[in-house]
Amino acid sequence: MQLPILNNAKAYKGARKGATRRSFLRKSVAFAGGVTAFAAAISPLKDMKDAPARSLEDWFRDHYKELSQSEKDILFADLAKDVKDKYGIDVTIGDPRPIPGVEYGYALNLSRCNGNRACVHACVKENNQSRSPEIQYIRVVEMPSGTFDLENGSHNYDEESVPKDGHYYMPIQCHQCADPPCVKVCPVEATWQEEDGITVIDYDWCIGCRYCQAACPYWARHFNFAEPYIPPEELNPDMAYLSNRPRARGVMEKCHFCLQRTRKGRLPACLEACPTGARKFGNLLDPNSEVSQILRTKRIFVLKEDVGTRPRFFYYFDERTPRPRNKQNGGQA
Amino acid sequence: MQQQEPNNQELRLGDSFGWVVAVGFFLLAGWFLITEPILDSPLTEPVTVQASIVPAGAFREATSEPPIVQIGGMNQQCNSCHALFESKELSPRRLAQHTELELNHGGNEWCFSCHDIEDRNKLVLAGGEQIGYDRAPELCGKCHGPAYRDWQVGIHGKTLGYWNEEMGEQTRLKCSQCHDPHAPAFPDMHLLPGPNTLRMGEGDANINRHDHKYNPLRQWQDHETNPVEGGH
Repeated sequence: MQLPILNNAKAYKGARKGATRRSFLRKSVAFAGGVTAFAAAISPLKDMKDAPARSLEDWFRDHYKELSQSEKDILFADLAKDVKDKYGIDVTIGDPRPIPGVEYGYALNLSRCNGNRACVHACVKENNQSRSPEIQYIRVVEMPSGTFDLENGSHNYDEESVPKDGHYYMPIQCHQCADPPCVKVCPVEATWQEEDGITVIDYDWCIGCRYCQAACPYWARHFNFAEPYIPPEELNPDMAYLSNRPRARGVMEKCHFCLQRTRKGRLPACLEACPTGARKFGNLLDPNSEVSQILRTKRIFVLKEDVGTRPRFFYYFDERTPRPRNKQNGGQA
Repeated sequence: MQQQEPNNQELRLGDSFGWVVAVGFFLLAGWFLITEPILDSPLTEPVTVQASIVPAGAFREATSEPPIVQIGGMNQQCNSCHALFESKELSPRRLAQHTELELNHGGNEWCFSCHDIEDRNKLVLAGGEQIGYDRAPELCGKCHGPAYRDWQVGIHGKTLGYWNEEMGEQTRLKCSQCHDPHAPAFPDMHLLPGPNTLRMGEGDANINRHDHKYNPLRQWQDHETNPVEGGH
Protein backbone atom coordinates (compact mmCIF):
# COMPACT_ATOMS: atom_id res chain seq x y z
CA MET A 1 0.00 0.00 0.00
CA GLN A 2 2.79 2.40 0.86
CA LEU A 3 4.84 1.48 -2.12
CA PRO A 4 4.03 4.43 -4.42
CA ILE A 5 4.85 6.96 -1.74
CA LEU A 6 8.14 5.30 -1.04
CA ASN A 7 8.95 5.29 -4.71
CA ASN A 8 8.13 8.95 -5.01
CA ALA A 9 10.24 9.84 -2.06
CA LYS A 10 13.10 7.99 -3.62
CA ALA A 11 12.70 9.80 -6.89
CA TYR A 12 12.67 13.24 -5.31
CA LYS A 13 15.61 12.52 -3.11
CA GLY A 14 18.11 13.24 -5.86
CA ALA A 15 16.41 16.51 -6.70
CA ARG A 16 16.43 17.69 -3.09
CA LYS A 17 20.07 16.91 -2.78
CA GLY A 18 20.95 19.38 -5.57
CA ALA A 19 18.86 22.26 -4.17
CA THR A 20 21.56 24.81 -3.57
CA ARG A 21 21.27 28.58 -3.33
CA ARG A 22 22.54 28.89 -6.87
CA SER A 23 20.04 26.48 -8.38
CA PHE A 24 17.27 28.13 -6.37
CA LEU A 25 18.09 31.54 -7.84
CA ARG A 26 18.41 30.07 -11.29
CA LYS A 27 15.02 28.45 -11.10
CA SER A 28 13.42 31.54 -9.61
CA VAL A 29 14.65 33.67 -12.47
CA ALA A 30 13.46 31.13 -15.03
CA PHE A 31 10.08 30.95 -13.31
CA ALA A 32 9.71 34.72 -13.22
CA GLY A 33 10.67 34.87 -16.89
CA GLY A 34 8.09 32.27 -17.74
CA VAL A 35 5.34 34.06 -15.85
CA THR A 36 6.19 37.36 -17.49
CA ALA A 37 6.22 35.77 -20.92
CA PHE A 38 2.85 34.17 -20.28
CA ALA A 39 1.42 37.47 -19.10
CA ALA A 40 2.72 39.14 -22.24
CA ALA A 41 1.33 36.38 -24.42
CA ILE A 42 -2.19 36.78 -23.06
CA SER A 43 -1.96 40.58 -22.91
CA PRO A 44 -3.99 41.02 -26.18
CA LEU A 45 -6.96 39.71 -24.21
CA LYS A 46 -7.11 42.98 -22.30
CA ASP A 47 -7.83 44.76 -25.60
CA MET A 48 -10.72 42.43 -26.48
CA LYS A 49 -13.55 44.87 -26.25
CA ASP A 50 -15.82 42.95 -28.58
CA ALA A 51 -15.96 39.81 -26.49
CA PRO A 52 -19.62 38.99 -25.94
CA ALA A 53 -20.13 38.48 -22.25
CA ARG A 54 -23.78 38.80 -21.41
CA SER A 55 -23.85 36.09 -18.83
CA LEU A 56 -22.36 32.81 -17.77
CA GLU A 57 -25.27 31.01 -19.42
CA ASP A 58 -24.28 32.64 -22.67
CA TRP A 59 -20.91 30.95 -22.53
CA PHE A 60 -22.41 27.58 -21.76
CA ARG A 61 -25.34 27.82 -24.14
CA ASP A 62 -26.39 24.76 -26.15
CA HIS A 63 -26.10 24.35 -29.88
CA TYR A 64 -28.78 26.17 -31.87
CA LYS A 65 -30.46 22.90 -32.79
CA GLU A 66 -30.80 21.95 -29.13
CA LEU A 67 -32.34 25.20 -27.97
CA SER A 68 -35.97 25.18 -26.93
CA GLN A 69 -38.28 27.87 -28.23
CA SER A 70 -38.25 29.71 -24.91
CA GLU A 71 -34.45 29.67 -24.83
CA LYS A 72 -34.40 30.98 -28.38
CA ASP A 73 -36.77 33.79 -27.48
CA ILE A 74 -34.49 34.92 -24.65
CA LEU A 75 -31.42 34.61 -26.83
CA PHE A 76 -32.89 36.55 -29.76
CA ALA A 77 -34.03 39.31 -27.42
CA ASP A 78 -30.52 39.48 -25.98
CA LEU A 79 -29.02 39.67 -29.45
CA ALA A 80 -31.43 42.39 -30.50
CA LYS A 81 -30.42 44.31 -27.39
CA ASP A 82 -26.75 43.90 -28.31
CA VAL A 83 -27.45 45.37 -31.72
CA LYS A 84 -29.37 48.21 -30.12
CA ASP A 85 -26.46 48.92 -27.80
CA LYS A 86 -23.93 48.88 -30.58
CA TYR A 87 -25.79 50.53 -33.45
CA GLY A 88 -28.63 52.33 -31.68
CA ILE A 89 -31.21 50.76 -33.94
CA ASP A 90 -34.25 48.68 -33.06
CA VAL A 91 -34.08 45.42 -34.94
CA THR A 92 -36.05 42.21 -34.99
CA ILE A 93 -34.15 38.97 -34.97
CA GLY A 94 -36.39 36.24 -36.28
CA ASP A 95 -35.89 32.59 -36.93
CA PRO A 96 -37.79 31.58 -40.06
CA ARG A 97 -37.73 27.82 -40.53
CA PRO A 98 -37.73 25.93 -43.83
CA ILE A 99 -41.08 25.71 -45.57
CA PRO A 100 -42.13 22.05 -45.97
CA GLY A 101 -42.01 20.86 -49.57
CA VAL A 102 -39.62 23.56 -50.69
CA GLU A 103 -36.11 23.11 -51.99
CA TYR A 104 -34.57 26.31 -53.26
CA GLY A 105 -32.75 26.62 -56.53
CA TYR A 106 -31.08 29.50 -58.27
CA ALA A 107 -30.56 29.99 -61.98
CA LEU A 108 -28.44 32.65 -63.62
CA ASN A 109 -28.54 33.61 -67.28
CA LEU A 110 -25.01 34.18 -68.53
CA SER A 111 -26.36 35.67 -71.76
CA ARG A 112 -27.97 38.49 -69.79
CA CYS A 113 -25.54 39.28 -67.00
CA ASN A 114 -23.55 42.37 -67.89
CA GLY A 115 -21.32 42.48 -64.85
CA ASN A 116 -22.49 45.75 -63.32
CA ARG A 117 -22.26 44.40 -59.75
CA ALA A 118 -25.65 45.68 -58.62
CA CYS A 119 -26.26 42.27 -57.04
CA VAL A 120 -23.03 42.45 -55.06
CA HIS A 121 -23.89 45.69 -53.35
CA ALA A 122 -27.57 44.89 -52.86
CA CYS A 123 -26.42 41.74 -51.09
CA VAL A 124 -23.98 43.64 -48.89
CA LYS A 125 -26.74 45.99 -47.84
CA GLU A 126 -29.40 43.35 -47.28
CA ASN A 127 -27.19 41.01 -45.33
CA ASN A 128 -25.30 43.51 -43.18
CA GLN A 129 -21.90 42.54 -44.46
CA SER A 130 -18.86 44.34 -43.17
CA ARG A 131 -17.93 47.35 -45.28
CA SER A 132 -14.43 47.53 -43.87
CA PRO A 133 -12.78 45.08 -43.99
CA GLU A 134 -14.94 44.28 -46.92
CA ILE A 135 -16.95 41.09 -47.24
CA GLN A 136 -18.97 40.35 -50.35
CA TYR A 137 -20.85 37.12 -50.90
CA ILE A 138 -21.04 37.51 -54.67
CA ARG A 139 -17.95 37.51 -56.82
CA VAL A 140 -18.51 38.58 -60.43
CA VAL A 141 -15.80 37.19 -62.66
CA GLU A 142 -15.06 38.76 -66.02
CA MET A 143 -14.12 36.01 -68.46
CA PRO A 144 -12.89 36.14 -72.05
CA SER A 145 -15.63 35.06 -74.44
CA GLY A 146 -15.41 31.52 -75.63
CA THR A 147 -13.30 30.35 -72.72
CA PHE A 148 -14.14 28.65 -69.51
CA ASP A 149 -10.94 29.02 -67.57
CA LEU A 150 -11.52 30.70 -64.23
CA GLU A 151 -7.78 31.23 -63.97
CA ASN A 152 -8.12 33.77 -66.77
CA GLY A 153 -11.06 35.45 -65.15
CA SER A 154 -10.79 38.67 -63.22
CA HIS A 155 -13.03 39.88 -60.45
CA ASN A 156 -11.20 43.19 -60.06
CA TYR A 157 -12.24 44.49 -63.47
CA ASP A 158 -12.80 48.22 -63.52
CA GLU A 159 -14.09 49.43 -66.87
CA GLU A 160 -15.76 52.69 -67.76
CA SER A 161 -18.84 50.74 -68.70
CA VAL A 162 -19.88 47.14 -68.93
CA PRO A 163 -20.10 44.78 -70.67
CA LYS A 164 -16.63 44.90 -72.13
CA ASP A 165 -16.25 43.70 -75.68
CA GLY A 166 -15.16 40.10 -75.97
CA HIS A 167 -16.00 39.22 -72.39
CA TYR A 168 -18.80 37.66 -70.46
CA TYR A 169 -19.55 37.84 -66.76
CA MET A 170 -20.04 35.02 -64.34
CA PRO A 171 -21.28 35.80 -60.83
CA ILE A 172 -20.28 33.20 -58.27
CA GLN A 173 -21.73 32.87 -54.80
CA CYS A 174 -22.64 30.04 -52.46
CA HIS A 175 -24.02 27.22 -54.59
CA GLN A 176 -25.94 25.65 -51.69
CA CYS A 177 -24.59 22.24 -52.62
CA ALA A 178 -26.63 19.12 -51.96
CA ASP A 179 -23.36 17.49 -50.89
CA PRO A 180 -21.55 20.39 -49.25
CA PRO A 181 -17.85 19.88 -48.51
CA CYS A 182 -17.86 22.83 -46.11
CA VAL A 183 -20.30 21.07 -43.81
CA LYS A 184 -18.25 17.88 -43.80
CA VAL A 185 -15.07 19.56 -42.62
CA CYS A 186 -16.52 21.68 -39.84
CA PRO A 187 -15.04 20.26 -36.63
CA VAL A 188 -17.73 21.72 -34.36
CA GLU A 189 -20.90 21.34 -36.45
CA ALA A 190 -21.35 25.07 -36.58
CA THR A 191 -22.59 24.80 -40.16
CA TRP A 192 -25.19 22.46 -41.58
CA GLN A 193 -27.61 22.02 -44.43
CA GLU A 194 -31.27 22.59 -43.70
CA GLU A 195 -34.27 20.84 -45.20
CA ASP A 196 -34.78 23.43 -47.91
CA GLY A 197 -31.20 23.06 -49.09
CA ILE A 198 -29.74 26.20 -47.54
CA THR A 199 -26.47 25.68 -45.74
CA VAL A 200 -26.41 27.92 -42.69
CA ILE A 201 -23.89 28.92 -40.04
CA ASP A 202 -24.46 29.45 -36.33
CA TYR A 203 -22.14 32.43 -35.87
CA ASP A 204 -22.07 31.90 -32.12
CA TRP A 205 -20.91 28.32 -32.49
CA CYS A 206 -18.26 28.93 -35.15
CA ILE A 207 -14.69 28.80 -33.85
CA GLY A 208 -13.23 30.48 -36.93
CA CYS A 209 -10.89 27.68 -37.97
CA ARG A 210 -11.63 28.41 -41.64
CA TYR A 211 -11.59 24.74 -42.65
CA CYS A 212 -14.82 25.35 -44.56
CA GLN A 213 -13.23 28.20 -46.46
CA ALA A 214 -10.49 25.85 -47.60
CA ALA A 215 -12.99 23.13 -48.48
CA CYS A 216 -15.35 25.25 -50.57
CA PRO A 217 -14.59 25.00 -54.30
CA TYR A 218 -16.59 28.16 -55.05
CA TRP A 219 -14.85 30.68 -52.74
CA ALA A 220 -18.21 31.19 -51.09
CA ARG A 221 -17.12 31.40 -47.48
CA HIS A 222 -15.72 34.55 -45.98
CA PHE A 223 -13.91 35.19 -42.75
CA ASN A 224 -14.24 38.21 -40.49
CA PHE A 225 -10.61 39.05 -39.98
CA ALA A 226 -11.46 42.16 -38.00
CA GLU A 227 -14.40 43.61 -36.19
CA PRO A 228 -16.96 44.27 -38.97
CA TYR A 229 -17.81 47.86 -39.68
CA ILE A 230 -21.35 48.69 -40.82
CA PRO A 231 -22.62 52.27 -40.89
CA PRO A 232 -25.57 52.26 -38.45
CA GLU A 233 -27.81 54.06 -40.91
CA GLU A 234 -27.26 51.29 -43.45
CA LEU A 235 -28.09 48.45 -41.08
CA ASN A 236 -30.93 46.26 -42.32
CA PRO A 237 -33.21 45.85 -39.27
CA ASP A 238 -35.00 42.77 -40.65
CA MET A 239 -32.68 40.09 -39.31
CA ALA A 240 -32.65 36.37 -38.74
CA TYR A 241 -30.49 34.39 -36.35
CA LEU A 242 -28.98 32.14 -39.03
CA SER A 243 -28.55 34.78 -41.69
CA ASN A 244 -27.98 38.52 -41.55
CA ARG A 245 -27.64 39.46 -37.91
CA PRO A 246 -24.34 41.26 -37.27
CA ARG A 247 -21.38 38.94 -37.04
CA ALA A 248 -18.48 39.10 -34.65
CA ARG A 249 -14.81 39.14 -35.44
CA GLY A 250 -13.36 35.72 -36.09
CA VAL A 251 -16.34 33.88 -37.56
CA MET A 252 -17.21 32.66 -41.02
CA GLU A 253 -20.12 33.84 -43.09
CA LYS A 254 -21.62 33.06 -46.48
CA CYS A 255 -24.58 33.50 -48.78
CA HIS A 256 -27.73 31.89 -47.41
CA PHE A 257 -30.13 32.73 -50.27
CA CYS A 258 -31.42 35.61 -48.10
CA LEU A 259 -33.31 33.16 -45.92
CA GLN A 260 -34.76 36.00 -43.87
CA ARG A 261 -36.61 36.92 -47.07
CA THR A 262 -37.00 33.70 -49.01
CA ARG A 263 -38.44 31.66 -46.16
CA LYS A 264 -41.16 34.27 -45.96
CA GLY A 265 -41.84 33.88 -49.68
CA ARG A 266 -39.89 36.88 -50.92
CA LEU A 267 -37.20 36.88 -53.57
CA PRO A 268 -33.50 37.34 -52.72
CA ALA A 269 -32.06 40.84 -52.69
CA CYS A 270 -29.53 40.12 -55.45
CA LEU A 271 -32.33 39.05 -57.78
CA GLU A 272 -34.43 42.13 -57.13
CA ALA A 273 -31.43 44.37 -57.73
CA CYS A 274 -30.31 42.76 -60.99
CA PRO A 275 -31.17 45.29 -63.71
CA THR A 276 -30.87 42.76 -66.53
CA GLY A 277 -33.13 40.06 -65.12
CA ALA A 278 -30.38 37.48 -65.30
CA ARG A 279 -31.22 35.97 -61.93
CA LYS A 280 -34.02 33.49 -61.25
CA PHE A 281 -35.00 31.92 -57.97
CA GLY A 282 -37.64 29.49 -56.87
CA ASN A 283 -38.73 26.11 -55.63
CA LEU A 284 -37.09 23.20 -57.42
CA LEU A 285 -39.85 20.85 -56.24
CA ASP A 286 -42.57 22.92 -57.90
CA PRO A 287 -42.67 21.95 -61.60
CA ASN A 288 -44.15 25.32 -62.57
CA SER A 289 -41.64 27.52 -60.78
CA GLU A 290 -39.34 29.71 -62.83
CA VAL A 291 -36.26 27.66 -61.98
CA SER A 292 -37.99 24.39 -62.83
CA GLN A 293 -39.03 25.82 -66.19
CA ILE A 294 -35.43 26.82 -66.82
CA LEU A 295 -34.04 23.42 -65.84
CA ARG A 296 -36.53 21.79 -68.22
CA THR A 297 -36.17 24.01 -71.24
CA LYS A 298 -32.77 25.69 -71.15
CA ARG A 299 -29.22 24.51 -71.53
CA ILE A 300 -27.88 24.57 -68.03
CA PHE A 301 -24.66 23.64 -66.32
CA VAL A 302 -23.22 23.80 -62.83
CA LEU A 303 -19.81 25.10 -61.93
CA LYS A 304 -17.13 22.48 -61.27
CA GLU A 305 -19.51 19.61 -61.78
CA ASP A 306 -16.55 17.24 -61.53
CA VAL A 307 -16.01 17.89 -57.83
CA GLY A 308 -19.34 16.23 -57.08
CA THR A 309 -20.86 18.84 -54.83
CA ARG A 310 -24.23 18.83 -56.64
CA PRO A 311 -24.91 22.57 -56.50
CA ARG A 312 -28.39 24.08 -56.47
CA PHE A 313 -27.07 27.06 -58.38
CA PHE A 314 -27.40 26.66 -62.14
CA TYR A 315 -26.02 28.69 -65.00
CA TYR A 316 -27.89 28.84 -68.26
CA PHE A 317 -27.79 30.79 -71.46
CA ASP A 318 -30.04 31.68 -74.36
CA GLU A 319 -29.92 29.62 -77.50
CA ARG A 320 -28.65 32.31 -79.84
CA THR A 321 -25.52 34.33 -79.85
CA PRO A 322 -25.80 37.68 -78.08
CA ARG A 323 -26.88 40.50 -80.33
CA PRO A 324 -24.69 43.57 -80.78
CA ARG A 325 -25.19 46.02 -77.99
CA ASN A 326 -26.86 49.37 -78.16
CA LYS A 327 -24.03 51.84 -78.60
CA GLN A 328 -24.51 55.58 -78.47
CA ASN A 329 -25.36 55.84 -82.17
CA GLY A 330 -25.69 53.03 -84.64
CA GLY A 331 -25.46 49.44 -83.57
CA GLN A 332 -28.35 47.23 -84.40
CA ALA A 333 -30.74 46.17 -81.73
CA MET B 1 20.13 4.96 -11.93
CA GLN B 2 22.24 6.36 -14.73
CA GLN B 3 19.29 8.31 -16.07
CA GLN B 4 18.75 10.10 -12.82
CA GLU B 5 22.33 11.24 -12.50
CA PRO B 6 23.68 12.61 -15.78
CA ASN B 7 27.36 13.41 -15.88
CA ASN B 8 28.63 16.88 -15.15
CA GLN B 9 29.27 17.83 -18.74
CA GLU B 10 25.60 17.34 -19.76
CA LEU B 11 24.39 19.03 -16.64
CA ARG B 12 26.34 22.19 -17.40
CA LEU B 13 25.09 22.28 -20.98
CA GLY B 14 21.48 21.90 -19.84
CA ASP B 15 21.85 24.69 -17.29
CA SER B 16 23.27 27.22 -19.72
CA PHE B 17 20.50 26.40 -22.16
CA GLY B 18 17.99 27.13 -19.43
CA TRP B 19 19.58 30.56 -18.92
CA VAL B 20 19.33 31.34 -22.62
CA VAL B 21 15.66 30.39 -22.68
CA ALA B 22 14.90 32.47 -19.59
CA VAL B 23 16.69 35.54 -20.94
CA GLY B 24 14.99 35.01 -24.28
CA PHE B 25 11.59 35.00 -22.63
CA PHE B 26 12.46 38.19 -20.77
CA LEU B 27 13.49 39.97 -23.94
CA LEU B 28 10.42 38.73 -25.81
CA ALA B 29 8.13 39.79 -22.99
CA GLY B 30 9.69 43.22 -22.86
CA TRP B 31 9.39 43.61 -26.61
CA PHE B 32 5.73 42.63 -26.60
CA LEU B 33 4.95 45.05 -23.82
CA ILE B 34 6.85 47.99 -25.33
CA THR B 35 5.96 47.75 -29.01
CA GLU B 36 2.56 48.19 -30.56
CA PRO B 37 0.98 45.08 -32.04
CA ILE B 38 2.18 44.94 -35.64
CA LEU B 39 -0.54 42.72 -37.04
CA ASP B 40 -3.33 45.29 -37.18
CA SER B 41 -4.76 45.53 -40.68
CA PRO B 42 -4.17 48.86 -42.38
CA LEU B 43 -7.82 49.49 -43.01
CA THR B 44 -9.03 52.54 -44.83
CA GLU B 45 -12.43 54.06 -45.33
CA PRO B 46 -15.10 51.83 -46.84
CA VAL B 47 -16.51 52.70 -50.21
CA THR B 48 -19.96 54.15 -50.10
CA VAL B 49 -22.50 52.81 -52.52
CA GLN B 50 -25.59 54.95 -52.51
CA ALA B 51 -28.79 53.03 -52.14
CA SER B 52 -30.15 54.83 -55.19
CA ILE B 53 -27.81 53.01 -57.53
CA VAL B 54 -28.91 49.66 -56.19
CA PRO B 55 -32.56 49.89 -57.13
CA ALA B 56 -34.68 46.90 -56.31
CA GLY B 57 -37.26 47.29 -58.99
CA ALA B 58 -37.88 47.96 -62.62
CA PHE B 59 -34.94 49.06 -64.75
CA ARG B 60 -36.91 51.91 -66.27
CA GLU B 61 -40.25 53.56 -65.92
CA ALA B 62 -42.82 52.52 -68.44
CA THR B 63 -46.29 53.66 -69.25
CA SER B 64 -49.17 51.27 -69.40
CA GLU B 65 -51.15 53.92 -71.22
CA PRO B 66 -50.25 56.71 -73.64
CA PRO B 67 -48.45 59.58 -71.94
CA ILE B 68 -50.63 62.46 -70.78
CA VAL B 69 -49.51 65.98 -71.56
CA GLN B 70 -50.98 69.28 -70.44
CA ILE B 71 -52.02 71.43 -73.33
CA GLY B 72 -54.15 74.45 -72.68
CA GLY B 73 -54.74 73.40 -69.10
CA MET B 74 -56.28 70.13 -70.18
CA ASN B 75 -54.97 66.60 -70.10
CA GLN B 76 -54.31 65.47 -73.61
CA GLN B 77 -53.17 62.18 -74.99
CA CYS B 78 -51.52 61.41 -78.30
CA ASN B 79 -54.63 61.24 -80.37
CA SER B 80 -55.90 64.61 -79.23
CA CYS B 81 -53.50 66.11 -81.73
CA HIS B 82 -52.99 63.24 -84.10
CA ALA B 83 -56.70 62.94 -84.84
CA LEU B 84 -56.44 66.40 -86.41
CA PHE B 85 -53.77 65.45 -88.88
CA GLU B 86 -53.78 62.97 -91.64
CA SER B 87 -51.20 60.25 -91.12
CA LYS B 88 -49.25 59.39 -94.20
CA GLU B 89 -48.96 55.67 -94.47
CA LEU B 90 -45.89 55.70 -96.58
CA SER B 91 -42.35 54.54 -96.05
CA PRO B 92 -40.09 55.40 -93.11
CA ARG B 93 -39.17 59.05 -93.03
CA ARG B 94 -37.45 61.58 -90.82
CA LEU B 95 -39.78 63.05 -88.26
CA ALA B 96 -40.35 66.73 -87.81
CA GLN B 97 -41.81 66.09 -84.37
CA HIS B 98 -40.73 63.66 -81.64
CA THR B 99 -37.11 64.19 -82.58
CA GLU B 100 -36.13 63.43 -78.98
CA LEU B 101 -36.90 59.79 -79.63
CA GLU B 102 -34.00 57.65 -80.61
CA LEU B 103 -35.33 54.93 -82.86
CA ASN B 104 -32.85 52.10 -82.78
CA HIS B 105 -34.90 48.98 -83.11
CA GLY B 106 -33.06 46.97 -85.72
CA GLY B 107 -34.98 46.62 -88.94
CA ASN B 108 -38.11 47.99 -87.35
CA GLU B 109 -37.81 51.58 -88.50
CA TRP B 110 -41.38 52.61 -88.96
CA CYS B 111 -43.69 54.13 -86.35
CA PHE B 112 -46.76 52.32 -87.67
CA SER B 113 -45.25 48.89 -87.17
CA CYS B 114 -46.31 49.28 -83.57
CA HIS B 115 -48.43 52.44 -83.28
CA ASP B 116 -51.90 52.38 -84.74
CA ILE B 117 -52.27 54.72 -87.67
CA GLU B 118 -55.94 55.49 -86.97
CA ASP B 119 -55.90 55.89 -83.22
CA ARG B 120 -52.56 57.02 -81.82
CA ASN B 121 -53.68 56.11 -78.30
CA LYS B 122 -53.50 52.48 -79.35
CA LEU B 123 -50.92 50.03 -80.54
CA VAL B 124 -51.49 47.68 -83.41
CA LEU B 125 -50.74 44.02 -83.83
CA ALA B 126 -49.36 42.63 -87.04
CA GLY B 127 -52.84 41.49 -88.05
CA GLY B 128 -54.26 44.97 -87.71
CA GLU B 129 -55.95 44.51 -84.33
CA GLN B 130 -55.90 47.58 -82.12
CA ILE B 131 -54.67 46.94 -78.61
CA GLY B 132 -54.10 49.14 -75.60
CA TYR B 133 -50.68 50.02 -74.20
CA ASP B 134 -51.26 47.58 -71.37
CA ARG B 135 -51.11 44.67 -73.83
CA ALA B 136 -47.80 45.76 -75.32
CA PRO B 137 -45.98 42.43 -74.63
CA GLU B 138 -48.28 40.69 -77.13
CA LEU B 139 -47.11 43.16 -79.72
CA CYS B 140 -43.43 42.55 -78.90
CA GLY B 141 -44.07 38.82 -79.08
CA LYS B 142 -45.16 39.07 -82.71
CA CYS B 143 -41.50 39.41 -83.66
CA HIS B 144 -39.64 38.25 -80.55
CA GLY B 145 -41.26 34.86 -80.26
CA PRO B 146 -38.66 32.98 -78.17
CA ALA B 147 -38.28 35.83 -75.72
CA TYR B 148 -42.06 36.17 -75.41
CA ARG B 149 -42.44 32.45 -74.84
CA ASP B 150 -39.75 32.53 -72.15
CA TRP B 151 -41.24 35.65 -70.58
CA GLN B 152 -44.64 34.04 -70.22
CA VAL B 153 -43.25 31.32 -67.95
CA GLY B 154 -40.79 33.62 -66.20
CA ILE B 155 -37.52 32.57 -67.82
CA HIS B 156 -36.91 35.82 -69.65
CA GLY B 157 -37.41 39.06 -67.79
CA LYS B 158 -37.60 39.99 -64.18
CA THR B 159 -39.96 39.01 -61.40
CA LEU B 160 -40.33 41.08 -58.26
CA GLY B 161 -41.98 40.52 -54.93
CA TYR B 162 -42.60 36.94 -53.87
CA TRP B 163 -41.34 33.73 -55.42
CA ASN B 164 -44.27 32.03 -53.74
CA GLU B 165 -47.51 33.53 -54.97
CA GLU B 166 -49.41 32.01 -52.08
CA MET B 167 -47.40 34.09 -49.63
CA GLY B 168 -47.49 37.43 -51.38
CA GLU B 169 -47.89 39.38 -54.55
CA GLN B 170 -45.67 38.55 -57.48
CA THR B 171 -45.00 41.12 -60.17
CA ARG B 172 -43.62 40.07 -63.53
CA LEU B 173 -42.23 43.13 -65.24
CA LYS B 174 -43.39 43.87 -68.76
CA CYS B 175 -41.09 44.31 -71.75
CA SER B 176 -40.98 48.07 -71.62
CA GLN B 177 -40.12 48.13 -67.92
CA CYS B 178 -36.65 46.97 -68.88
CA HIS B 179 -36.33 47.70 -72.60
CA ASP B 180 -36.88 51.05 -74.25
CA PRO B 181 -39.33 50.15 -77.04
CA HIS B 182 -37.64 52.58 -79.39
CA ALA B 183 -34.12 51.30 -78.60
CA PRO B 184 -34.65 47.93 -76.96
CA ALA B 185 -31.11 46.63 -76.64
CA PHE B 186 -29.75 47.01 -73.13
CA PRO B 187 -27.48 50.04 -72.85
CA ASP B 188 -23.95 49.78 -71.56
CA MET B 189 -23.99 50.40 -67.85
CA HIS B 190 -21.73 51.92 -65.26
CA LEU B 191 -20.43 49.38 -62.85
CA LEU B 192 -20.30 49.57 -59.08
CA PRO B 193 -17.04 49.35 -57.11
CA GLY B 194 -15.19 46.07 -57.25
CA PRO B 195 -14.02 43.91 -54.40
CA ASN B 196 -11.07 44.77 -52.24
CA THR B 197 -10.84 42.26 -49.46
CA LEU B 198 -9.57 44.60 -46.80
CA ARG B 199 -10.58 47.77 -48.59
CA MET B 200 -7.10 49.14 -48.33
CA GLY B 201 -6.98 51.88 -50.88
CA GLU B 202 -7.43 52.14 -54.58
CA GLY B 203 -8.11 48.53 -55.47
CA ASP B 204 -5.92 46.84 -58.01
CA ALA B 205 -3.50 49.70 -58.14
CA ASN B 206 -2.48 49.06 -54.57
CA ILE B 207 -2.94 45.32 -54.45
CA ASN B 208 -0.37 44.97 -57.20
CA ARG B 209 2.04 47.47 -55.74
CA HIS B 210 5.56 46.27 -55.79
CA ASP B 211 6.21 46.92 -52.12
CA HIS B 212 3.03 45.10 -50.96
CA LYS B 213 2.41 47.96 -48.61
CA TYR B 214 -1.32 47.43 -48.71
CA ASN B 215 -1.36 43.68 -48.63
CA PRO B 216 -0.97 42.37 -45.09
CA LEU B 217 -0.62 38.85 -46.35
CA ARG B 218 2.64 39.82 -48.03
CA GLN B 219 3.95 42.56 -45.81
CA TRP B 220 6.54 40.25 -44.34
CA GLN B 221 8.29 40.11 -47.67
CA ASP B 222 9.72 43.56 -47.33
CA HIS B 223 8.81 44.56 -43.85
CA GLU B 224 12.34 45.64 -43.06
CA THR B 225 12.89 47.81 -46.09
CA ASN B 226 9.44 49.32 -46.07
CA PRO B 227 7.80 49.11 -42.67
CA VAL B 228 4.09 49.60 -42.35
CA GLU B 229 3.32 53.15 -41.46
CA GLY B 230 1.48 53.72 -38.22
CA GLY B 231 -0.40 50.64 -37.13
CA HIS B 232 -3.78 51.82 -35.95
